[in-house]
Amino acid sequence: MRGRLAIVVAVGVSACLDPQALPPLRFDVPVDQVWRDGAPAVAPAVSGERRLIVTNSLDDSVSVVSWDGLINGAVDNAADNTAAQLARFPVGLVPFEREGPHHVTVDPAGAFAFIGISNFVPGGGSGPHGVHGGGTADGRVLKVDLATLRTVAAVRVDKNPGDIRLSPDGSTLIVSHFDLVRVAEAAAAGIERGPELDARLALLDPVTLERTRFVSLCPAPHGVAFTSDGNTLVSSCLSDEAAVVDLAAAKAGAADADVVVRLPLLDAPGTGQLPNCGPYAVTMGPADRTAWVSCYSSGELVAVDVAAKTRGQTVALPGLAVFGDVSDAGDVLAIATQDTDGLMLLQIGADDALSARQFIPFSPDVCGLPHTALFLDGDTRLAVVCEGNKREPGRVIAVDVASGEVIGGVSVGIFPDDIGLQVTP
Amino acid sequence: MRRALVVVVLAASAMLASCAEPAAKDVGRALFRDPRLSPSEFNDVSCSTCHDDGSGEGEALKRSGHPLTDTAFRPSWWGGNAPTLKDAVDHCLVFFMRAPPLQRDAPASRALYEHLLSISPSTSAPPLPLTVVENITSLPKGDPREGERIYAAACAACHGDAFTGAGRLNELTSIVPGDSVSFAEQSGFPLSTVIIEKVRHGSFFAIGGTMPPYSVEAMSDDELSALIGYLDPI
Repeated sequence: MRGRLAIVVAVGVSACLDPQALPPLRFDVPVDQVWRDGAPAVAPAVSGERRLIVTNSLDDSVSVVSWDGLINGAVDNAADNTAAQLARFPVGLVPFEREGPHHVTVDPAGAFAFIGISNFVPGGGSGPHGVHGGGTADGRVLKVDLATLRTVAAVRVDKNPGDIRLSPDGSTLIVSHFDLVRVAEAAAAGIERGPELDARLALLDPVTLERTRFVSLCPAPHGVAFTSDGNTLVSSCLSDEAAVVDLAAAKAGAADADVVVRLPLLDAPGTGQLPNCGPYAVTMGPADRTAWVSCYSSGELVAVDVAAKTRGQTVALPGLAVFGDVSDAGDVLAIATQDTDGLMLLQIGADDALSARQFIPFSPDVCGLPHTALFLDGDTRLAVVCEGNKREPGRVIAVDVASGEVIGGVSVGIFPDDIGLQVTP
Repeated sequence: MRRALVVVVLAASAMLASCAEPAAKDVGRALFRDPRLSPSEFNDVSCSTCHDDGSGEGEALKRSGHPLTDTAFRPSWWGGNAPTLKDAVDHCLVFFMRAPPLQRDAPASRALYEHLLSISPSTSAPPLPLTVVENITSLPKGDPREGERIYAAACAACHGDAFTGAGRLNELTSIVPGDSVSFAEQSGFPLSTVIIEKVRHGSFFAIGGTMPPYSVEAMSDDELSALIGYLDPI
């Protein structure tokens, strides 16, 4: 009876009201409590707190991991919120469809994360309309407020955004595009080399997300690294090359040809379609003298003299080289390796000559497919992102540098890829 | 008879009172059923097209969305893809009703919120599962009589009568399975595959339109098989 009456009232109300121009109503809920969002998505960060922002590329989520929780004995727990994983929140513009959050970077103030949406989603949807995206849709950059975990801005970039990094002063946001589709399309057209293969580097204003400049770079650039003054950037190029980019000139409006210098990383470089080295990541060395390019195909590190724009020492690693970091002291280079899963620590000597120091192997249950590493705690510990089997949650682990022991680990989302460090001033 | 008269009198009184200064939650209840919640002239669906709000209306319908009783305090919505209730509602408006997201403090927004609050007595309701089938597979053709029942419950409210489209929402709404037959012929895919894809993906996965997808929870594979048996019997 009451229900029926309510429906009749509802119909009556509807009949006399225009939803787009309602008269004054009698509200029970104060306006500041409307659409209340319940408990905060994540506890506010306190001064000095360090959190790891981890992109989970196959479940469209981002994990917020407490570094302190991780090194203080937090243990794995598959649940969403554990002592170490403070939150895991969805990102992307389209619910249901997996959009592949790829890399992430955090601003120096620890306020915002910038996340590349790659739309490269193997197996993400099928049927007569085909596999969704597959890297053929343009990418996006999302700006996420780390206090609320809400996306506050988004902008379109080119297909397959790869690395995303902020200049050290936080004034320029850089996005490379690991555009394998472009490389494949050129191959299908019988084009082995040339501008048809080249993807662009995007320069954005991190405040407004305005795209201030695109620079034609090279085939499938992926990892990038800034010099400390932010004026130069080194990028990997899948065509067995590295590109050294004069960002100061780019911002001043110089032509692409005057901004980019490409150099081969091998005596006999392959092509973007058939690389021998397979440049994948870049790590900038101490004092910006050397950038090391990780080769995913050959498992080597190739040194690039940043100022001279020439190739230097090549070092073979136990596995396929991916992302890494240089210690704050500038004496150790840590590179994650796959195939032979582990972490390679190399001593940086005079003139940036590398020598093997220690290889820390990982078993699949501890850290399958480590993808990137980050020095923390005065170079005494490393945070490592482990992709895992890409079907079940991957992990983030903490490694003690001196002993090589894993001192903490936490499950995150599916196929974690990159890590950003949020430090609250 | 006397009971009905009481209802009418009470309703009339309430309507008069409501038109004078309506309670927000009553207006929200009306808006829940009103396509005009969306400002788009091309929208003909309302929240109630896809969701039951506990009123018992349309009990025979097989809606694509979960019932919304106790929805206000769940920890997440849309299978975890919407972290707030407003996100969940905004997704519906943007993807299915051709509308912009709600303005948090707009009267219609506040009224709809108060209605959802009024049907949420539990403050500890868990999230509801919502499983979208990303990679579709073929299904056997099931019982066409059961499929006819499924069509009437799930599809007819928008698409009208099967095969003719009589009574469908508007002329933009496709006739089933006629438009799917055309696409099947054009694409070379079996009609059953086209139907499965549309039901499971709705407007998502590059398909387009404004139809919501049917999750596994909203329609089982057996029910979808029956639907195919009805719409694609040969």
